[in-house]
Amino acid sequence: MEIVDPAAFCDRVSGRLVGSLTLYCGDRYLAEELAQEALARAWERWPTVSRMASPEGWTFRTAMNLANSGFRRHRIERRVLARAVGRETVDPDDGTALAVRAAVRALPPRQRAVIVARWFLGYGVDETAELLGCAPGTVKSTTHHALARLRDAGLADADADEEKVR
Amino acid sequence: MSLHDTLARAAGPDGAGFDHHDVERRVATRRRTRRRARLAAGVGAVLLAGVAAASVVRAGTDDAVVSTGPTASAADRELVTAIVGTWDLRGVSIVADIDVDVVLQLLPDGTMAGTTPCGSFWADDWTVAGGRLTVSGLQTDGHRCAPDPGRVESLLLEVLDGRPEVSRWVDDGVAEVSGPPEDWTTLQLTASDGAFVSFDRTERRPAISGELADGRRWIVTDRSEDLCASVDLVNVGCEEADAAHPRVVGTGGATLLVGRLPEGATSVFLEHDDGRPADLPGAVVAPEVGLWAVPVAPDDVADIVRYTDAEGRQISVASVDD
Repeated sequence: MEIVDPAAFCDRVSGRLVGSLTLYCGDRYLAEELAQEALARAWERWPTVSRMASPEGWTFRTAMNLANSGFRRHRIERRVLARAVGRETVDPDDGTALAVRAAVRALPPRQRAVIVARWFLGYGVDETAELLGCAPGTVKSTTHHALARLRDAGLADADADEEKVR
Repeated sequence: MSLHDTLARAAGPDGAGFDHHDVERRVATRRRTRRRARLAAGVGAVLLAGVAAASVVRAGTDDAVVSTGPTASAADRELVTAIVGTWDLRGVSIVADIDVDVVLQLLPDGTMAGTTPCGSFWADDWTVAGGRLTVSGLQTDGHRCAPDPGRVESLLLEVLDGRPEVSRWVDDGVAEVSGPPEDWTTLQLTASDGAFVSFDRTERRPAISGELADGRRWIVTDRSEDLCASVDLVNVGCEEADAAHPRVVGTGGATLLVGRLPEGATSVFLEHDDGRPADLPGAVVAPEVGLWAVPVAPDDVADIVRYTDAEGRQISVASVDD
């Protein structure tokens, strides 16, 4: 479905974006800041981004890049900390959620991105390859290694999830 | 429970704590700041050449304290020239944690912009009269702030709004108001009640740039310990890198191998573990700023970097950290 309005795009993808970034960086507040920043960049480039095959994928990739950037990350974290005081939490932060996030956060960035893209955003191998700028074969092998690590952490169902690698 | 369900639960509640209005406000703030920066770039050179004292007086200005026009004193005109630029917060007159990003931009078009610990601010006019900075139309985006950074923000805005005295710090900590513009590497603004904020002039950071195979422009900027890369103005990552530890930055089609040149090095050669040389299409080596970078395929990054001098003599060898 084509979205012609950046405001509608923001409201449609913001929840999924925040969820995927919460998993990617392990922190809900940081995820909201990263999501807003990435959506602002998409908004500014909307004539170009809206014509892409996956505006959501572009926005997620931009947010991942921001999360991976040391300089930017520290700056954003400080702003998030500064604003968070006195704010009501919207983060369930229960023990299970924190443990799952910690296990995902322990993966190398590319493995993390593959897991979030495929098992949270529901992207296929080709879409994930497009998102990460690599070959579909690389996505499959990265998925295999990531699942092995998640299995070690007690998260993934070995047989069911391995099916999706192929 | 499937992995999908496990992740969906761990991701937290559906929806985000913001909507498109918040994103739109962020875009508007950035556009405003960029517009000011463009204006600054347009007239900055003229002002710094010392002939623009009159050019920054805008039509319709009836404020009696405008001092950058032809009737301003020579001392005030000199002061304006000296303090135009971008400043990083260094100190405040209260006990507070100032490990926060606060930037003050005194733009040559006579407007002001900046960031506080929690948001941004801007003003329609800044002028100097009688050695004091006068700011009009000061506004902030009003973001909520934690107590300590909030106190820094309040102090900054109060000082800016209180016609502060303009001075600079010299080496022994004594405030000075004289000196040529190039000596103004520090700035202190002191309000009538003694409250002050002090700044260091932002240094221009060394950077190199080039093009990816698909024509997109990349920039690698030296930020003290980190080398940060951007592609088409989107930041793709930062990594600590030195001559002994070149690093891979970015992902996918926007991946760069970046590093610092050792002393005396003018060329860089890449090799794989098995001794095969690697191509360097699009490589940029800049001894004048001590940086180099080359676009690479993420699945085929070289393992070894050899540095040579202008005569082709090998200076050192480094392994690539990825």
